[in-house]
Amino acid sequence: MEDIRDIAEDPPWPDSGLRWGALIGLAMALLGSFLLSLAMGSVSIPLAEVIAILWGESPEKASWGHIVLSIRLPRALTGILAGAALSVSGLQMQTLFRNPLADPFILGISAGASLGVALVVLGTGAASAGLLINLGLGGHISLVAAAVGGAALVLGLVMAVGQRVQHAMTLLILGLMFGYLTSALVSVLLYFSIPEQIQTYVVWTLGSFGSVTWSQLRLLAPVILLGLGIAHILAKPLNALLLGPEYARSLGVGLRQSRGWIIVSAALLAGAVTAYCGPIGFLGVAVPHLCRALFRTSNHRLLLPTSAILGALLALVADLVARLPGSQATLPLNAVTSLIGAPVVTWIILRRHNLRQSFSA
Amino acid sequence: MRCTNLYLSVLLLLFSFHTAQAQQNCVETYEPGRDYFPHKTRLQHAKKFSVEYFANYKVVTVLTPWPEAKEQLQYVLVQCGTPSPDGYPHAQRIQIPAGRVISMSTTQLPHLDILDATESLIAVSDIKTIHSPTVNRRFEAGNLAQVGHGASVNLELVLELETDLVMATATAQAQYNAHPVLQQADIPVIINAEYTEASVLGRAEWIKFTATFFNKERTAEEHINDITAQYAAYTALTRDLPTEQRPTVFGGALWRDIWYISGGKSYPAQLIEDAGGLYLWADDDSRQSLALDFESVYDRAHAGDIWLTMHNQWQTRADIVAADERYAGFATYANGRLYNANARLNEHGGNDYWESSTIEPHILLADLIKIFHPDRLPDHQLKYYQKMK
Amino acid sequence: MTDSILQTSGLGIGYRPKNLAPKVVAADIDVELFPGELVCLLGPNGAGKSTLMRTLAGLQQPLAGAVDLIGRNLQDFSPAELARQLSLVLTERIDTGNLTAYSLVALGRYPYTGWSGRLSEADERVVRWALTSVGAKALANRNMIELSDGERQKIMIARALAQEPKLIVLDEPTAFLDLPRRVELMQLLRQLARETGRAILLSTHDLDLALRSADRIWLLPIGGPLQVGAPEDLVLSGAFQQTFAEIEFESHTGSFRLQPQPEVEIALVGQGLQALWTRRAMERAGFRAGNLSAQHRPRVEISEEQGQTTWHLKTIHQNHRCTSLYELVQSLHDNINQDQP
Repeated sequence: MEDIRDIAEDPPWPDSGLRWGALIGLAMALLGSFLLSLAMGSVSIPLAEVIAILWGESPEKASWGHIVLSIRLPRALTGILAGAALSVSGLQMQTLFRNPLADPFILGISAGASLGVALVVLGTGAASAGLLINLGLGGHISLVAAAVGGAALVLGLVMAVGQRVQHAMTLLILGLMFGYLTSALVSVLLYFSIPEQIQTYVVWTLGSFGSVTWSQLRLLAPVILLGLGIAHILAKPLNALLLGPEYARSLGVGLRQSRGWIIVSAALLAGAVTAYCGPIGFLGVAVPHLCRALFRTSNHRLLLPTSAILGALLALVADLVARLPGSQATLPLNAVTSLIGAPVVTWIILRRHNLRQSFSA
Repeated sequence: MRCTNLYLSVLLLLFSFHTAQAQQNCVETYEPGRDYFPHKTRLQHAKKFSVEYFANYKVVTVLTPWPEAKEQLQYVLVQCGTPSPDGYPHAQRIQIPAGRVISMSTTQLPHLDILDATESLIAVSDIKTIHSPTVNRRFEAGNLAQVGHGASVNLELVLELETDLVMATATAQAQYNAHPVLQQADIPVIINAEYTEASVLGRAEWIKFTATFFNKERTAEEHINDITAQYAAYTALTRDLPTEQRPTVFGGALWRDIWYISGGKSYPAQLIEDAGGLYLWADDDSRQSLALDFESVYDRAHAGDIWLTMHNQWQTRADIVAADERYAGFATYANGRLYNANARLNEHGGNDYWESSTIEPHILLADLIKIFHPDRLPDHQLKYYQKMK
Repeated sequence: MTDSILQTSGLGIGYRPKNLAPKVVAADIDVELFPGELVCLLGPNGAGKSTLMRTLAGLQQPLAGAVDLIGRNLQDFSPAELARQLSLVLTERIDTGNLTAYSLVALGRYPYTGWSGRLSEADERVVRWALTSVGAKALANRNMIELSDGERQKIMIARALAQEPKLIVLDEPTAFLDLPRRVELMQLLRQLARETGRAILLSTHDLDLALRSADRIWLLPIGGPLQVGAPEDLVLSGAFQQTFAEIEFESHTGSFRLQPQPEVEIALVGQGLQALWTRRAMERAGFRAGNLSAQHRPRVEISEEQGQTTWHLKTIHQNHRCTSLYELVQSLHDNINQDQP
């Protein structure tokens, strides 16, 4: 009598590879939206001309060359970098805090970066000097440093308090409270500032990719690429951290070291983006979940690159929508990312009644 | 005996002088039927307020306290010492001439200067934004208080100062307006709505509005007549210029992502046209500012001849490029015809452009003509604008 | 005598609350773990089993004494070095998200893979071997979320195996499992210890299974001292009865008495399996099957009638015939006065 188990064949061993097909597909989509971002705007420039300009040829109208190369191109690149940075930062925070709703915005880390920015912009005293737009390179470095510092500070605080606290919701509320605290401090700073500084600051909080010029990109890009690079190396410990700190330690993860590097990477990414583009919400929380759902995986070796690419893609799309091409009006970027992100977050919460289980998309 | 008379007369003179100071022409005995306002103002350009004269009171109506306002505001100005008339249930009653005055907007300060009424000023909103040297001197001498802006005006301080009149402006957003707060405390407050006027001269003519509260209509009339004539004279200098000889002009600057461009019917647009320039957004129909992005502005204005900007902090071209390197793509950056309206800036950020230029639009016009067609006004020195070095 | 994998000397375990004196849970523990042995840690709640397990696994600091792993002090190991020698399975259900069973077991290769975490051919072989050893090859492609508790624990054990440690420590791995899974798991662990030559230490409340499967038992009563021995040695020496003094431990059955000895003695005539279970039913009902003559009344006689087992309750005056033990118990209750000796 044959054993029933011998009749049924065991399934073949799975492939631990990287699913290159999916990655390449996503990258193609990103390239497409990149070209679209360059082609669309308030001024209509035909796609053929855009490509010609990128290729180095002279366009029909002289102004078009400047528009594409000096206005649209840095904006698109900023969008790509910012989208990737926020998504990877959010992914790291979700794993680090074992909380599916963690992201730089929700945990108050953007608020910490904002406080850093506010201190540099508003705290440099009264009428004359200190406006954001008047900073030279030294000023820009101090701006980014302050933002990253503020982000790291809040992240460290949340981490420290979060270690004593097990429940997922508590951590989120802590993040909210830190966010409120820093916002309050910023309000105090605003109260003593002149109207132009206030206006600059308020407009900054609306979020934008458009005010980063080439010279600013020279600082923004390396910082973000550094943060992304560190995150890439962290894929292995991040995977181990999926099992929780005790199992991770038993697998050989140096907990303090890994956590430290995760914080460094996440703070660099969130801080740099916030400094130049303002606090941008929802990309950090929504994109990792979309990747988990799309690729049915929790493996960070796949999640990190896909989150970066998908994040860049969505950031470009959001920016495109915000620019309302064809009309001369613009929407604030944060409004558009909220419109995209809030339904995704709601879907995450509703799909799994238990918040903790939401980790599995 | 003569010495005593002389002595008494001198005393009497001093006494009456003193009371005049303290009670500024308050009527001692009322004579019904007497016309207390011999000089009655007439409006040439302004369309948004009206003044009606009666024997001992005036009725001043502000037709649009803010743009698109549905309500009018009315004030009954009663000569001090005479009885208040019946009727006018919705109007505020104000005793004139006003003695102790608070000005919550900067554009009315030049009115007080010209009407020689600065002595009545007892407080402003915020001294940091004020350029006027006379006002600053009063502040340094300790005669001026600060009461804050809009709806968060320091009510206690206003009451303590025994204010006769507050001059303020209002906007469509009721929650930011000062006048409801002040009215609740029974403080007389008048709304200056000069910025709702369509023309620059109409806006300037609101000095007459302020004048009614001080019985200084004659001075105001003289001023307006003067500037109207000068304005016409300047306009004539460039009216005959054909389009090819008019330089293309644009204004504004980038704030984060948005470049605010004055509408085609706004004051700056009018001045540009009158000065013989060609405003690049003359095709726009509105008086409001347009919120455009850098691309759109660049597309239309990158080859523009002259850029008139308004930015307190910019002194040199290097400042502009440091703010955003993309500005270098504009032809005006290369040709150097960049002008900033911050020539009259004091050390704590008060810009006179927002103060006295409202009542001397002819000087603004002259500035612009000097910029656009210097040969037509060789002797004029730029007052409000300066060229970026 | 092979070298021990783990050795403790004068180990004191406990915890240090903030600003207070350290609380010692157990002290002077001297134990050893040898390769190929399955050792079960038993003891009542609160004795410190979890604390001991965690201290031996390096998750907690000892309060006194030392723990030596392959001759080195446990504290001297870096986390990566420790991971190659010792792996851990904990009680709690971990939310592992969208990981497949294979990827989870693959995590066990963490101490051996390079910085990217990519598995080499050799690593893949170990993972597959681990999955097959625990009998979970069919589960490899399934998501952890979809697995039952028993299957999940198997995968966690496979992961612990994939770390290729010398010692596997399991803290109450059978806690949430039903009986068949518990049996299966203990059998698996015993087999793994023997066949792979690893030392396996687990803590459990499952006395019965532990007594049957463990090579050695560590018995930790409340307040110490820790006693070590083969399960049967510890029973015969009375250590079990002492440790679980609150409840009566029956040495001859290896189980616990559920209620006090019944007083009323009734004779039982019968043999084999039926006699055994009839005796148990009678004891449950409160009647002791005593060492009495076969003619004693009252007595219970077991017989076969027409292929069916029947019980006859023969009291002093009557004979009752029952076709099931349930009826017999009813009958005993109805007819025998329990107060009478």
